[in-house]
Amino acid sequence: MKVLFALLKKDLLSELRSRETLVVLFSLSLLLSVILSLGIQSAYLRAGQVEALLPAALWVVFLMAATVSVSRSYDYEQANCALQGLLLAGTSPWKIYISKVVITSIIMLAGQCITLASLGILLNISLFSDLITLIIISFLVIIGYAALSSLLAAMTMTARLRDLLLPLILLPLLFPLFFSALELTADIVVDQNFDPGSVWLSLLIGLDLLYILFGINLYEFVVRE
Amino acid sequence: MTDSTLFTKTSKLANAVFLLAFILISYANYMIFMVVPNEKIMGPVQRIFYFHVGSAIACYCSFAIVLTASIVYLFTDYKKADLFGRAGAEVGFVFCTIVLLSGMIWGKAAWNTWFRWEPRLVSFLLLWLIALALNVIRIFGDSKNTARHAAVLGIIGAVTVPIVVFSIKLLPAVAQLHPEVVAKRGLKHPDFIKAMFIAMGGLVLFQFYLIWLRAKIAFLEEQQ
Repeated sequence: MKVLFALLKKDLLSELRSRETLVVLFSLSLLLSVILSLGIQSAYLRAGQVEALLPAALWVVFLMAATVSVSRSYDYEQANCALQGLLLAGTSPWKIYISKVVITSIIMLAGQCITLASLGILLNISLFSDLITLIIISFLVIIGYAALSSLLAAMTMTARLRDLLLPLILLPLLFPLFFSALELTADIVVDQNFDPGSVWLSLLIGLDLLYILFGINLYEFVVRE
Repeated sequence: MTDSTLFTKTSKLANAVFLLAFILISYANYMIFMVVPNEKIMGPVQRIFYFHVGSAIACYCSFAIVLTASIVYLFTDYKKADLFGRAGAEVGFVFCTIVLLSGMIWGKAAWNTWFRWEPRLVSFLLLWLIALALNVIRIFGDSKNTARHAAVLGIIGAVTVPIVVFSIKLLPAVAQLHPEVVAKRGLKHPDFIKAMFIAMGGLVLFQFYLIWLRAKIAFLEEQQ
């Protein structure tokens, strides 16, 4: 546990010092929200129709912003072979992986809050009454996203087309997570009828566990030289 | 990896599989175009169904081979398993493309639309994208660790396939267009069923042969 906390501290400090992922994620979330809102506004939809588009807008902004910024978290690991150094020092690969997942989840959740606020304001949709549920669902989706993206980002960090390759291999595998996110957000925002016993929520939690299990067991094969 | 005994030992079996696949596909073609009667509503265009379903089953088998080969490669470091994983991903992609294209042609003729957001259609489009991802990592991935990375992605991709297929069925289908032929026992005429299983068997065996052949080619390429 000591090692895990030390890794968490290292990753958090590196993020806070470089601020690369944070700045890229926040700026992209805001920028994409503005662009999508502009597009939606120009269609002159009625109030109910705009709300129906919110789940798609929310998760498209998240996927785009998160996928562009997630590979940044491995930039400083690659410099001076820091990741290999950690492995040579005897650190278990799964601990490095868990640390990455936790820090990525925290950063992504902060980015999602920015997207929720900006889309709510720009599309004139009040999300206050459902905010807690939306953040909980977002957190569950983000855990799954972070679990899979941390594993695959480690795979692409040394590839020639690193930043282009990650979305190509990551996004197709995220479809089940994306379906759950869309359906649950629509239940909350559009139908105002969120059911905690929903099959989509069970699928989402199941996917989170599956992806974490994959990561813990397969991360070693990805980072081993 | 210079030992070619696996391919020399299995070459007779592979040739027998190819011969059987050739006979079955030829007989299936004879049945489809000469024996099976026209379907009442769709007419002659329904005959594309036999290739469409057979290719879909072959595609699923390819994903199963990718999963098995990836697990074997990662946990035993058996180099030839990687060749079969690579071959499975490529052949699976080809069969997935055939399913998508034949489905679109059939859909245009039967429903007057190339594509519709219907669960079964969407799931195969997504499988096609997953198959594409499995091949992309081998082309553009880290050249030193391609085999290991492709095996990891192969496991995740192959496990995602059934999740996609089943989760998409939970989506509310605005209009359920795709026929549930087998589940709802849609084929009444015995020749329909006979032709379907012969075409399916032929295409699955042909897919096994193609995977073996592609793995052998990849092996010979690495020898050079």
